[in-house]
Amino acid sequence: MENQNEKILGKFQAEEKKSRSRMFKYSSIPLIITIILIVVSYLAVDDANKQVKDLKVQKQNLEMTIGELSNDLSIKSDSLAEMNKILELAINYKDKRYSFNYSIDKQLYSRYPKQSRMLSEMRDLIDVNAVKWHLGGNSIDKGFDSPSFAAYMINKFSNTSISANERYRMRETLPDAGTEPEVGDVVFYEHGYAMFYFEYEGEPFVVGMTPIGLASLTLEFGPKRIGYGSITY
Amino acid sequence: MDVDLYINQIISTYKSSIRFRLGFAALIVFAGVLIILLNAFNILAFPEQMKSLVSVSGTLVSSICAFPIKEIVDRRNRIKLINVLSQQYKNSEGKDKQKLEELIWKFIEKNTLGS
Repeated sequence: MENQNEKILGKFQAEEKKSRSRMFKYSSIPLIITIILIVVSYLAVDDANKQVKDLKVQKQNLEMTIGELSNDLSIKSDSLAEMNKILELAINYKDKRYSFNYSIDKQLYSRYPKQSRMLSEMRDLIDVNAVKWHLGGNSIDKGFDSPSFAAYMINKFSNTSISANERYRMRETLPDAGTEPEVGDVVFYEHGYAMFYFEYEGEPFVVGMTPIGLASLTLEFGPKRIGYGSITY
Repeated sequence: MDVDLYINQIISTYKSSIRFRLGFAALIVFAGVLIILLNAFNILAFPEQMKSLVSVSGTLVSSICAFPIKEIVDRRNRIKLINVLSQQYKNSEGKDKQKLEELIWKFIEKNTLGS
């Protein structure tokens, strides 16, 4: 009997030990599932993050492309507006041209020697059609827009100096010539025209760069006058 | 060997098992809470999107302590029952004592070895 009881006690103790290992096994199942769940989720999230990163780069590239295309479109619109202006000038300003010859030099030279030389040079340029309209241009070879040509001639023939970054702000930087300009002063018109003022036999006219090229035109050749800038020669 | 000695050995084995399971349960709860805290204070290097999942996982790990606790409760109940039988065994005499001893061994056989 005692031997049997010893056996039962031994079995009981062995069963308790087994029960411990069973507990470890059962507990490890949810632990392993949790670890697998976290690893799988981590890999999925990591992959999704990489995709998001790639898509962000693609989005950035597309935005840059859109920006460039918008810029191009804006430039094209500007060009189109410029073409419209040229067409308008070609249609409307044909009969606004002012013709002058060398006799004007004699009359001007005694009073306005530098202005006279400037006018002579502009006449020569008109005659040989040597200089073209070019938006933003700043040399004889490349061409000029209206304010750039005016700045170029002012710097060449007068004592007034216009720096490259001032050429589109001459209206503000040049002294105001009031309502009665002197020969050689600059007349400012709408749409950014800057033309040189001259008078011959009491008749005023202007010379300067227009989208149809260098031209001498009547004072009221089209765009509205907005002021005069005084130039010191 | 006297029945009391057997009973004492069984009870001490149960108590040892309870202590071990208590330690194991505490360890699991601590591990789960640690995961939740480390995740809450951004010490674990998991992506932001996984924060909730890691917190849930910490909770799940903590909840594993239910296994040992269930066994602890089970063993405590057995200890109580064995104590009651042992007490009655001590207070009885003659044939009753004999029957109670047989009953105790049957209980041990059925409940301990059958678990």
